[in-house]
Amino acid sequence: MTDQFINKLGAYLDGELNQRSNDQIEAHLKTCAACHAELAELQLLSKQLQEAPQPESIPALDFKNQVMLQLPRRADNPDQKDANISIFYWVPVVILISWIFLQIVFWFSGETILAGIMPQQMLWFDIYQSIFDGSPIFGNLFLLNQIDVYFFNFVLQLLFQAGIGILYGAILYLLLRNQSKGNVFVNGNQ
Amino acid sequence: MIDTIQITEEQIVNQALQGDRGAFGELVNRNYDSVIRVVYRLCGDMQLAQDAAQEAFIRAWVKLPEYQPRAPFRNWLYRIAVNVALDVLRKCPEESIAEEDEFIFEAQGMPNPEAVYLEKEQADMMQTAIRSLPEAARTVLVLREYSQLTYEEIANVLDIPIGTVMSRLNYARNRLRELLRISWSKGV
Repeated sequence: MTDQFINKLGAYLDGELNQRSNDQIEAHLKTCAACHAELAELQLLSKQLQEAPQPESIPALDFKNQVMLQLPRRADNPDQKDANISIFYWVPVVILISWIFLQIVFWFSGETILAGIMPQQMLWFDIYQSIFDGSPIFGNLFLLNQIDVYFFNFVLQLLFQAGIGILYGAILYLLLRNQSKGNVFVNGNQ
Repeated sequence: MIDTIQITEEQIVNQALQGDRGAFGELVNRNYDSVIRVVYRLCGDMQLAQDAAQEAFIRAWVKLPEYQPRAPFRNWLYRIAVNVALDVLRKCPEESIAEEDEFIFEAQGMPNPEAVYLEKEQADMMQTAIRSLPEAARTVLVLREYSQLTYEEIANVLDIPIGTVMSRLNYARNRLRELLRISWSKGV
């Protein structure tokens, strides 16, 4: 019974109990010498803690001057910063969509984006011919003969696009890293 | 120049948020004493405490745009100061913390050298006892006894439930009483 009250004595001393608990403690304290002594000790401890002197620190004005001298330049408005960062996230999406669109258009038009690197061809026309035209055997044979070229083109373009992706990712990483570092310039002026 | 009487802390914070360094200086001026008191009790060394307080104010300036005016600015500052102080303590080897700081007492109110000595002894003993507490319990005790925060405010500052505040505070007080009982029996 007493333990239950003893655990609440600290909160009672700090004025953190509700009215009902407060009344219960006060009623109990009138009859329990152990709890009374416990409370007295807690009060003494609190008094000693608060009255314990601390060494002199530097005057507030000197401290303030020291802080002001070292105050770095603060980051821009966070909303603006978020907007700047979101642009970086949207740019690759736009580029990727444009790139896919151009690939499809040029591929099926028999052109290639990297003129000179990849051989020109009319793949869609070859496929159409091999399936629907009157000479399917010739068309299929033509496709089979050219399969190494198609495969080479496919791998080359895949590598090329992966290269672009990695390059962009690296640039984006460097930009974002520099941006996060650049928010604070120690000893800088605003 | 800021009129310290007429302008409320909220207005000064708003000015500082706009990038007014002078306004932030005023915030430093107003909160220095309370921050140094808390940080000193956590660190137990005035030089470390001053370094930590300085770092805390610099961090507060940088993070000021993140401050939400739901809680008093001082409590937000305590959160930063406590984190910095504990970081400093973790990085600093125990033996490098000064065993005794140079106490400078006011001559007035000190009747004789013996009283000065007793006062110093009591201060050292108290600080040693506080420093011997586990970090979590020490932080809660310091915020309660030296900044007079309510349990709810302490819970918000440390991001812990109120029940945890109560249990840590009970633990800290019981532990301190055990440590100080010997000196109390001697009448110190």
